[in-house]
Amino acid sequence: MVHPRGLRFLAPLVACLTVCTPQQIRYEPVALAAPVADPIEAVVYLIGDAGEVNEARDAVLTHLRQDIESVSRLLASPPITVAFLGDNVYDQGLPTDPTEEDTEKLAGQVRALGTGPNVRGVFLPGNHDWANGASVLEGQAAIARQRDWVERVAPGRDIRFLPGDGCPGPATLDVGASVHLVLIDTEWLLRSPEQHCGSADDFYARLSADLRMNRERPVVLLSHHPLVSGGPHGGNVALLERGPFVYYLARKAGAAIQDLSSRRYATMVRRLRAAIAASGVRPLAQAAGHDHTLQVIGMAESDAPAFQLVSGAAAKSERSRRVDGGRFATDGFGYMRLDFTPEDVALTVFARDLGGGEVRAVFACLLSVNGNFGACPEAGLASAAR
Amino acid sequence: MREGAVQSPLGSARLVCVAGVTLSLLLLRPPTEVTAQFSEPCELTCAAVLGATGFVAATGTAIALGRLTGGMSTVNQGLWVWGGTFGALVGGGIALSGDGERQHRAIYGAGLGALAGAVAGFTIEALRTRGDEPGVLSGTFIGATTGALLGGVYSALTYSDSAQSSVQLFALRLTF
Repeated sequence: MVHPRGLRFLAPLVACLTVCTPQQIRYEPVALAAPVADPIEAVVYLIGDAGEVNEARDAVLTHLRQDIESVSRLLASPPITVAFLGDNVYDQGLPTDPTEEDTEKLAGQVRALGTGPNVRGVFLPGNHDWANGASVLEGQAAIARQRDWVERVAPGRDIRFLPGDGCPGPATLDVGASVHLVLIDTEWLLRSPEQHCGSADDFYARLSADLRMNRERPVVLLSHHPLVSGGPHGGNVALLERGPFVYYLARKAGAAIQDLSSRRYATMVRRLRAAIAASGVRPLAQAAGHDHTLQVIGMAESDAPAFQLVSGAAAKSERSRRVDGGRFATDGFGYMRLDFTPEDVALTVFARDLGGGEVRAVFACLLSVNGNFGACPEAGLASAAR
Repeated sequence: MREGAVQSPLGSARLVCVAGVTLSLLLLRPPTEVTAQFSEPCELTCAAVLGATGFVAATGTAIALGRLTGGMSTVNQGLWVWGGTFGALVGGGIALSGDGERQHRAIYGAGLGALAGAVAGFTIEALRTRGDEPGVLSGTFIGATTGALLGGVYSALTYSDSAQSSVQLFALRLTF
């Protein structure tokens, strides 16, 4: 029997367990949505933060390659684009004299593309690819090194690094005739250095203009940093989880530039949304990594993309709490796939449990740019999370 | 709450409510006389207050720097700022040890200033940002830091052997 005085020691323990552990919303896996009836015109894979070699990443990349091959085989070879959403090389980007270990971080991702002629790979820059906190010039040099490596590694293959000049872009890619991808270097936007890339104002004007020109087809914004997230960069950090108490306080208070609560990050999100509003064109989704989670979030406001897709869990895992508009989230390792038909866009989330096991489809729904969220309802909460 | 907004465990409305009540109590309650002094000798208490105030003020300085510059890029950057500030503040407190009464008074003033600044920062930011969690937290720590510096410096500079002084702190009148 526990002595009543012993209970005094339990109280801080219980309090610590609630504050020291970041929250993780738990959803039941969703049975796959009915296959779309129309022919698939284009497929886009979203996979982020894959720049660390480990067993979980190997499983995810192997599954990605198999899925690409099966899509190519079964669906009359639609054009496929695989977007690697930044942080392709941890921890400081590609060094001047890369070792085999450094290049393997990229080579594993390139191998996952397979050999199909209809498959295109595109790498985006993340904060770690920018040499993670180094000077702007050092960061841009690291970006140039990675771009050169990626674009030379497989001659004859369509593998690009965009935007690859250490400037914000936007770079654009069309997947087939019906899908328009807009690629943005959000690390540049966070830093906004005054140099040859022009001003941030110029960038936002170019973004609005590009959206206006592509109002007739689905647009997906791709960048490393998300607009919303329930992960650690969105404030879901726990006491003593990653270091001293002061680190927790500083992140909670918005003192770290890579967190959504920092002034620069908040300004970037506000201005991206203003550019969307100015264009009068609502993107279908903004896909990003940065937080090492898989999250599907509906965004109701007209100045935001209809969906935020956070797919940054190729090699690392973190927890995410519930976000308003959330449809699904998991701390498993994985990636996402978008199938575009003339009428629908089908999203499938593939993930592997933290503890291991097979990568499998854990969530699927149809995305609509018109704010009709009925086809993409929130998954049911797992019984333990109710 | 808008779509995509992270749900705060504290709740914005609750923070605003707490801030409103705090502000009302501070401004409307009649002054209460408090004779607050450290017991003599004040070794352990003074050291604890100095350490706690230094921690809060160093954290507030790191947060202020992060907020003012748009955000710190690396963990090390924050830790250097924090460590430097903590060392300077605690070193300053220890440097007064040759003048015991003045040291006690400065530490006491810094501690009270930090407390008052934290309350003021919390209240102002909770009302100004309508309960935005990072804003309230940073406001609390930056307020505490400002209060600690002002309180410590004021108390050290105005120390006198003979005269007893008092400070009005919201609804409290603190006698030194």
